[in-house]
Amino acid sequence: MAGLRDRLSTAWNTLLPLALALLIVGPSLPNAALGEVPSTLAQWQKKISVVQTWNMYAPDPTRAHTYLAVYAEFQDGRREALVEAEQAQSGWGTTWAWRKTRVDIWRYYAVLNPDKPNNNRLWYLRSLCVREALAREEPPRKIVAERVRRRFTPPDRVLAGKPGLGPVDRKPLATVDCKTWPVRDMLADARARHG
Amino acid sequence: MTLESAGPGGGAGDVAEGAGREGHGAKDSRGRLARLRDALLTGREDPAALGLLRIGLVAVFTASLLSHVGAVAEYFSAASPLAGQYARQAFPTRWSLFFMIDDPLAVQAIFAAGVVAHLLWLVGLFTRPAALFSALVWVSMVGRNPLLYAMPDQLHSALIVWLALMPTGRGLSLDARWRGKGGPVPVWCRRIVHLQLAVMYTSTGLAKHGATWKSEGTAIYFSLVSPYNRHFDLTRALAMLQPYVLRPITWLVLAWEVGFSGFVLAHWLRERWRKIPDMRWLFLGFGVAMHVGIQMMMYVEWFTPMTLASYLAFLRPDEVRRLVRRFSRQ
Repeated sequence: MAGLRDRLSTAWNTLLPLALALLIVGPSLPNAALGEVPSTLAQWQKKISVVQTWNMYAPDPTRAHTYLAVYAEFQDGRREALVEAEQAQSGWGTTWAWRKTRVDIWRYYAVLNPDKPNNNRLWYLRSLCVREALAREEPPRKIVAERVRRRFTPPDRVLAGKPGLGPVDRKPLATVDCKTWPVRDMLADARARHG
Repeated sequence: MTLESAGPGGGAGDVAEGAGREGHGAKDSRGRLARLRDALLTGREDPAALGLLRIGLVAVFTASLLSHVGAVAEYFSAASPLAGQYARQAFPTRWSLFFMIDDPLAVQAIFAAGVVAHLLWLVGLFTRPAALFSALVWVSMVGRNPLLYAMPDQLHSALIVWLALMPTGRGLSLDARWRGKGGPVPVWCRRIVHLQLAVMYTSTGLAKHGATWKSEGTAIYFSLVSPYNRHFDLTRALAMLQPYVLRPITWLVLAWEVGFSGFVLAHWLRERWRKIPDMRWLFLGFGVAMHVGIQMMMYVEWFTPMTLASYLAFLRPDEVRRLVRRFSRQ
C-alpha cells in the first residue's frame, strides 16, 4: 500500500510540475515551429484568467498619454462633462495609489487603438449609458467620447527649455446612442434590478 | 526516498537524495533518469522555504484583495453597469463564478469568504481548501471584468493559481503545528515560481526591441515622466540625469531582464555543481533595487511587493531556518 502511494506521489509530482512548466513556457514558444500548440495553451489558461503575455513597456514605453474624455448628451441638446472628462482635464500632474480606481485601467484600455474598432471602448461607453441613466432622472441620449492626448517632451528638448508635456490634442473617438440595442436592453435590465 | 529527521513539522535536517546540495555523499543505485527526476522535481526538501514563500506571497495577495473593499458589488455583481448576459457577452473567453452568481449580496459574501480563505492560507490553517478557494475567488474577480486588471495583476493571477496547487501548508503553518500536517515538500514547487519569474522577465526583455530601449536609451526617462502614474514631476531633473544615469540604467535593466532566465538556469545547475558562483545577491539585489526604485517613483499597483515576495522562492530551506531561528530569538 505504501509502495503504491509512493508511486502515485512520484507520478503526481512529476506530471503536475511538467504540466505547469508547459503552461508557463508554452504560450511564449513560436507558433511557426509548433503550429497551434502555443495559442491553444494560451486559450486554455485565459479561460481562468492566467495570461502569459509579458510585454511591460515593450517594445517601447509610451511617448504620450491619452485620456478618455466623455460627455453625456441629452434630449434637449444639453451636453454635460462626465467624471472621465474632468480626469482628462486635470490628470496631467502626479498621482498616488489612493487616487486610482480599477476603472482607470478600463479607461486606459478603452482609449487604445483610436483609429480601429475597440470592443473594450464600446462596452465601456455602453456601460456609461447605464451608469449615467441610473445616476440621474433624465437618461442621456448619447455618450460622446473624445481622446485627449499630450506628448512627452524628449529629454534634450526639455534641457533646451521646452515644457515636459506637449500641447493638448483632442480628437473625436466614438459616440454611443443610448437608445439602440443592446444599450436599451442593458438599461431595462439594470432598471429592473435596481427597482 | 528516505528522509532524515522528517518530523511532522519538517525539521531542518530534511534532506533529499539527489535533490541538490544535501544529497551529496549518499550512494544512489537508481537509474540516471530517476536521479535526474528527483533532482529536478520529486526530490524532497524542508518545507520552511515554501512556507515562507507562502507567507510572503499570500500577504500580498490579501492586501491586493482588500484593496477592492468598497467596490466589490460595483465591479463584480448585478449592480455593475455592465452586468448579466452583457458581461458574459463582453468577455466571452473568460470564466467567472460571478457570471453565475451575480446578486450583489451573494457576491459580497463570496468576496468576504475569499478574504477569510486568504487569511487561513496566510497562517496555513486548512491550507489546501483555503488556497483553492482563494484562487477561485481571485480568478472569478479577474474573469468577471478583465479590463479592471493590468499587467501586475497578471502576475498575481499566475502565481495564485500555481501556489494553490502546491503543498504550501507543510511548513511554517498552523496545519503543521496543530494538525500534524507538516512534512517535506517536493523541490519542484519553488522551481515553478523561479520559472514563472524567468519567463516574465525574459519575455518582457526580448519584447523591448524599440529605439527607446536600444539606440536612444530613453525608456526609463519616458516611463518616469508619464502623468498617468508618476508620483513626482521631476521631468527637468530626469532630463539632466538622462545621458549619465538613466541611459546606462535603461541598458542595464534590459540586459538584466533578458539575462534572468540564464540566472535561473545557473541557479538550478548550481545545486549540482557548486563551482557555479552564487549569483543571487547580484541578480536579485539588482531586482530589489529596480523594483523599489519603480515603487518610489511611480504607481504600479502591487507589482513591487508581488515580485519581491516571489524572490523568497530563491532562499534555500537552510537559509530560511536560520532566518526563522534568528527571528524567533528576537
